[in-house]
Amino acid sequence: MKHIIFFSGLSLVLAAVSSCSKKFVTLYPEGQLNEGIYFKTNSDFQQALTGAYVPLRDAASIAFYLEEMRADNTFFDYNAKDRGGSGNEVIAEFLDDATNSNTQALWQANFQGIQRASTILDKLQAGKPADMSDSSQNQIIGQAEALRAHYYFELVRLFGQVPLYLHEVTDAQNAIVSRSPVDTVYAQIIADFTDALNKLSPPTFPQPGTINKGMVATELGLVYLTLKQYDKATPLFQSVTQMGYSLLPKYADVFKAANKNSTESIFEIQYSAGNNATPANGTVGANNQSSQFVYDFIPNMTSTLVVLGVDYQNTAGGWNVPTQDIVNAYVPGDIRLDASIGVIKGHLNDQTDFVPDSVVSILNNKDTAGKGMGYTTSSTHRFAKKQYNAPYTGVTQQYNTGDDWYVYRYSDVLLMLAESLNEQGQSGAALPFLNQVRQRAGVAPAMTVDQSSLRDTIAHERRVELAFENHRWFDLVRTGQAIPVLTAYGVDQKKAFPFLLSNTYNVTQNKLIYGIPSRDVMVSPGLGQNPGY
Amino acid sequence: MCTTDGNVSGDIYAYGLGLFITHKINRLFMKINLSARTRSRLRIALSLFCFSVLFHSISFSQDTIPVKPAPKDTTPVKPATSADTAVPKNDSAKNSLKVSGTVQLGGGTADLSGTSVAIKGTQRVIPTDSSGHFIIAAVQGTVLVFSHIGYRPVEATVTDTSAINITLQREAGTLEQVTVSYGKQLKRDITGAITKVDAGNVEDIPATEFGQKLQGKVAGIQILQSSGIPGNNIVFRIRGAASLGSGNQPLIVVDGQPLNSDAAGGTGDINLIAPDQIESYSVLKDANATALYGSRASNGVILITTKTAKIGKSSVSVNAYHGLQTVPQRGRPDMMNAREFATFMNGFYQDKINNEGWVNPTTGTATIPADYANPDQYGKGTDWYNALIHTAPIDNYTVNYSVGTDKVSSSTTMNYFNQEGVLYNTGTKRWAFRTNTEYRPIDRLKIGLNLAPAYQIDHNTRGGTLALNGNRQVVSGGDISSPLISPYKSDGTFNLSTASYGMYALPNFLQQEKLMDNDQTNFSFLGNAYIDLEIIHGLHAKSTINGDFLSQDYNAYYGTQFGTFGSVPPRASSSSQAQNNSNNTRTWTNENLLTWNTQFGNHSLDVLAGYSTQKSYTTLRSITGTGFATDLTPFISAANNTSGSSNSSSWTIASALARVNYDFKKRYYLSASIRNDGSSRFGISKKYGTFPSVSVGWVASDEKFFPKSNIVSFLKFRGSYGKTGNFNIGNYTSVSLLTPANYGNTTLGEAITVLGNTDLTWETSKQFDVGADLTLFHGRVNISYDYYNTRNEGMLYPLPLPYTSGYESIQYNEGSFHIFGHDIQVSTENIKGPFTWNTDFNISFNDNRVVSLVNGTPIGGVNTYSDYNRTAVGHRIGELYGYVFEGVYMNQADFDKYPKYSTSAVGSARMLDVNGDDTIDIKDRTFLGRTNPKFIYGMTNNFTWKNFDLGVVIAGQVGNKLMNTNLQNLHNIDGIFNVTKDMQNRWRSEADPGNGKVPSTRSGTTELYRLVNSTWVFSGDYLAVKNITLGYTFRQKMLRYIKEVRVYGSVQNAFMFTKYPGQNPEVNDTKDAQTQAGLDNGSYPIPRVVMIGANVNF
Repeated sequence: MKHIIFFSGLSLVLAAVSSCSKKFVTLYPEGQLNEGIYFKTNSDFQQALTGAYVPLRDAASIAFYLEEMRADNTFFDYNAKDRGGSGNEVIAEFLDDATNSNTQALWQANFQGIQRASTILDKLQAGKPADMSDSSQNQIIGQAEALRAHYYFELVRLFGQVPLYLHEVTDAQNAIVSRSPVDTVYAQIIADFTDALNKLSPPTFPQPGTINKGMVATELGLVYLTLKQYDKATPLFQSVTQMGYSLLPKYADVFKAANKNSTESIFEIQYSAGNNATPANGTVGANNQSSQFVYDFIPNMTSTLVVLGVDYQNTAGGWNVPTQDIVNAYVPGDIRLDASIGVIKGHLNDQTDFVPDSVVSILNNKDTAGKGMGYTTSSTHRFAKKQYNAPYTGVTQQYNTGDDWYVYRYSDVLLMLAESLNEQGQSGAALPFLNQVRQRAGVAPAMTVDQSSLRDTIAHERRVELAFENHRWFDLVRTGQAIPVLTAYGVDQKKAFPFLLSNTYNVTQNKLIYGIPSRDVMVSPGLGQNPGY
Repeated sequence: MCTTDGNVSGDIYAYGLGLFITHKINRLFMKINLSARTRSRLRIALSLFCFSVLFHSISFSQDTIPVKPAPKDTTPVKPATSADTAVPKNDSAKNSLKVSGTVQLGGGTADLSGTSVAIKGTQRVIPTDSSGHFIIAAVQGTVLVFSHIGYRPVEATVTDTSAINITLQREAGTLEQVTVSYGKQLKRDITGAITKVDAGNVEDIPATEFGQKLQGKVAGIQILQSSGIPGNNIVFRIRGAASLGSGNQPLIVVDGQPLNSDAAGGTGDINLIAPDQIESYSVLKDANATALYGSRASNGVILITTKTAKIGKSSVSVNAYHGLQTVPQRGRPDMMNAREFATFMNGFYQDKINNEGWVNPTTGTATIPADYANPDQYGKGTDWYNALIHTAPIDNYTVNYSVGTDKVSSSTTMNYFNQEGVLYNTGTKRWAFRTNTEYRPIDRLKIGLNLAPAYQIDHNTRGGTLALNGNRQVVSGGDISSPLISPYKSDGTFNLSTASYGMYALPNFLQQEKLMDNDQTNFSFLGNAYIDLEIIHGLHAKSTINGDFLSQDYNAYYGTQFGTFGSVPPRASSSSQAQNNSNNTRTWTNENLLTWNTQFGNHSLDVLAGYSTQKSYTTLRSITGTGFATDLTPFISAANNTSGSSNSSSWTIASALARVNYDFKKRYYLSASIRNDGSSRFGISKKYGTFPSVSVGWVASDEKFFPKSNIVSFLKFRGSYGKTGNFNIGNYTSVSLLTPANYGNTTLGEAITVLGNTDLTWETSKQFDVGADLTLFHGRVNISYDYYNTRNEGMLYPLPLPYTSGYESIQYNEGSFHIFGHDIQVSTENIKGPFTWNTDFNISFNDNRVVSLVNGTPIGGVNTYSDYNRTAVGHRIGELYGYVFEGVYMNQADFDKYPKYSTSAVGSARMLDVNGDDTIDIKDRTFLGRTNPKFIYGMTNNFTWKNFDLGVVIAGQVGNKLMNTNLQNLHNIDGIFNVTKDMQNRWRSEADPGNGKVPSTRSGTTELYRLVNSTWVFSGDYLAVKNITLGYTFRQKMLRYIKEVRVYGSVQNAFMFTKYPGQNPEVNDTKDAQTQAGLDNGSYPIPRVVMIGANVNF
């Protein structure tokens, strides 16, 4: 009997004690925000919106491989010592497959942005915080929608069919979505941009670097241009010309660090240098907003002091190197050549590593091409100069610059408007917009009103005006020129660079979009793969 | 409150009531909104208070109503010379006899201290003197029990005063006491799968970590030395891998205190226990043995019992050894020497000139670079592997002092250990102290206090920006350095670069090794206080408070001479960097247990119930400084720019547990246990889990029908089934977390970067085990066998999500798998007499199959680089995965005939078209072999003859595959690294196609040969003679003042027989992650240790 009392008493006590332990075993991190306490105030949503911009940086940091180096504007320095970059090379050579790390990184960054935008839209849908005004709500929704549309527009052009994530992912089940047809994706992009266009305000100058009505009208215009719906594109571009944008007087000034978010800037990915960018323990700090374009674009070298004004070894370089083809595309007197392409002269040391001696103008070194150019073991190198803002003094870390990436500039809008008008048969109306751009470049005005030849003139103008700004590949694809232009270019390349294998530059219809990253094909049942990958 | 009437049920009631009131008050505190910390302090204070009141009430009540005969003796016990020390006063009225006699030990050991004489049915124990004499007062009919650890107790009934002379015989094994979960049991009574190892038997094995000592000793536990870095490299697998990604290391419990595991944020607590502090190990393998540890027991449990003093024994012992470590010749990489390499590179450039129009940029002509133009000028050149290593000492000194009386036993161990690494400028030093004291102020009360501080300095062994092993770090980087370049210039200074013409930028790894400057200091403090009260005979209440404090401080400096793969010094002082990381972890555990032991008739019952809470709290900091004016000030205070961060992390677990052990006639056993755990790590809706187990045992040899013979002396069958769990994931993974994400110059941003899983809970292991223990020929042969079958479900793993979701993974309970195997352990006394020969042999078969995964999606084998394993349904966990190398396209006909990769050319590597789609791409990778062995085995042979003893420990494994991922570098034919000799046989032209196994060096075609493929896969079979020890013991007669001196010489890692071409077939880069097992990326060599040592007992 005693024992029965004892054990029943004990079990009661144990039961009681264990139920009161629930609080004891419920812990949240002290050093990190968690979802349970977030998305409650206007400020939370503003911060989350800022977070949704961040993948723009991740995408732009590598997009040049897929959107510029794929085309005829740029190539790479063949690095015999470090073959680890062959994943970048195969993109230029059209030998890439679905395992390409750049393809995957760009895919990942854009979808991350989509998820952040959709999360904001869903959480707002569920309930507006009490302290959020209607206008604030409109600005947040408009920017989130525009971001989502922008990310999808990049994806649909690179990959074709993609899955549509219009709601927040909350668990492993709703994380898996199958791909939607290209038309459906475009319909969603147009829907998001159209709503954003209504919600957002026109730009104010100086610009804060966030998305406004001007960016949305421009990109939606490009969407219609891509879809060849010129009647819808033209009014959008026209509306942008009424928003207060203007070309800076000097082309070279557009890319100067001092002129970030200028009146010519319509959409610019914001980067900033900072000493806290990447602590040595490997975790990326919140302040890591730096870019490293210039390090990617100049050659590998033992010391960057002569070129960048700071003394680091560069092993990230030799990419997006201007080709002889693009150098030749600038007509004599075009001031954009010197503003877009630089030349670094130097010598090789005992280890056959490049040591720079000086940065010189391409105008005097236009014909250093041929033997050697395109190899890391050359003593003369070209580099894409638009993100070159040396000296980088004041920054005490390698691979850390504050150079922005330009997505849409006002000259782009003018050229798109010209193109759209020309395609609508209004070639005469197109000329003033085209010539506004040519005039600044020091190039004679175009006179022709023949639709076909004006089409070629505008396309060429786009190539030199927007060189190294990730437009060339998309322009070639959307105008149907990619296969003929790049096949011919490939023949020249193989002559210039004997290391290229015979099966390079096999430009086919399948290669006009990239392979779906094989990791996701494996992880996401039913995702499928693009033909040819 | 706690009653004082001395009534038994009152006491029990009081105890229960005490807990209940504690609980109620606790609830009240919650309502009045106290902080969690205050509450937990109050809870501890309250339980202590209640115990003290209870204790007080009972000691108070003793005078009036004795619960059982309560001796009042306070005389300190000396070895029995006085008869009345052992006379219970209550019996003084009866006729007391003075009984004397002598105890001897069967094996002939002279030192009899520690031998005890007990009066059966009481707690009265007296020790004998060191020669075995005793005198005890006892009434007629009293039963005396004579015992000595390791010997079978003998009972004798007092009839008259005639001398009782007893010889104790070595135990046959079944009467040995074994530490089990929350208690001790006789080996005979155990119904679970438990193996005990006495630390004394593995004393001679030099080890930083105790795991090294257990290698080859226990069936069912695989212990691998994953690399030769001093400290922190032992990997355990009890019955194979139990988990996908959440740790496969067993729970280590030291004297009842569960240690913080590695995955929980601790960093090698295990390593900080000096092996010389340990008395014994119990390896718990099946669910019955482990289920009382609930949610963290599925990898098995190792219970460590530290040294305690024996009653009546006072001793001082000193153990010391000194050894020299050298790297064996076997297994060193087979790199080209200088002449071979220059010849290879000469051909490399010749081919480039012929096939790719190559021009030497320095000269502008198509000529072979000067370094390689004349290979005959070179001899052997530099053997970089050899240059990086040296012979290094290892030393260990331990002093133990222990004293035991009937009131106090205390044991103190002091240890100094110093191991230099065989790579220059590396090593570990440890100072460890432990004192275990137990006070027994009255018969029914034990109060214990164990304190164990340890301080350890890890010099250059904890990684850093340049690590010792791993891809292109010191060892691997040395392998690929140019043999044409010597480490030193003619003036004796270091050559800064070791790259010959056209090679990748390689620093001088010898210089970098000697320059390394990263030290981690670890201070740990294990403290353990308990109070154990016997409320009535057989009923104990025990309350324990354990504290585990760990403080680690890591300092590293990388100056202007710092270089790493791809970066040759010197570098600008603005790049100089210092790093400081530190963390403090404090973990406390409070346990309150009631145990009740009783016999009635033929029935024995042993009941345990308890409640336990544990909390761990870590704070961590990390500071970086860059830009140093000079290298003379390697601390961050001298840096131009600093940045830092701090954080905290904690976890809690609260558990209720109960167990019943029942036996009938010591022949039929039944045991059942249950534990309920609540853990902070799991989703809000799934915090609690229940872990039951049940087991049965049957001693068949005691049955009447069992044929009595001289062959079988003991036979027991066992069976168990139970559930255990695994909670080894990081903290807070069930919660969606935000990370700062700034954009633009002014706005702060946040983004969800970790997708939480509110349904997250532990993975569950359901284990079934049947076994038998058999003793033959009166204990000369002991056999133990177990078969087990385990189903693991809800595996904790970061489930990969498609990037399209915006997330990379979600911590998930994913899929299930199945583990099964056999453990066999055989101990034999082969020869007895003046010459003895004993053998312990064990062999374990273990295998697993993945039964299901979420969506059937395999884990791993996805990325092009650094992804060498795949876990897929129907396969084993973490099988090696890659392309199957078929040879090279020998000629155009071959090239036209076989499927091709995107960059294939005549002469390039030809892989197998696994999926038959007539093209080679990532989909043609396939399974290349299992990483878990088919079986592992170990054998220990001990021989003694006169005063000599000889021990030989052998261990081995059969049936697994290893992948030498370092071949990615050593087979790199881009002309940028030194390569293995067999690369000479490469394809150069259709006329000179080599041996068909090495592709051509043509630009743009070499990548495929660098991707994971079958040429990197080797058999992992090995047989290792782990240890040979020869000892000689000087006995008492030969020495004064000293009881015993044993001197010995020993060779650790004496011989390795394996086909694996690498140095260490136990290698495992990832250590714990079974989904990435079996990889060798150029690891720190394992030394052979030749040592001499002495054990002295005073």
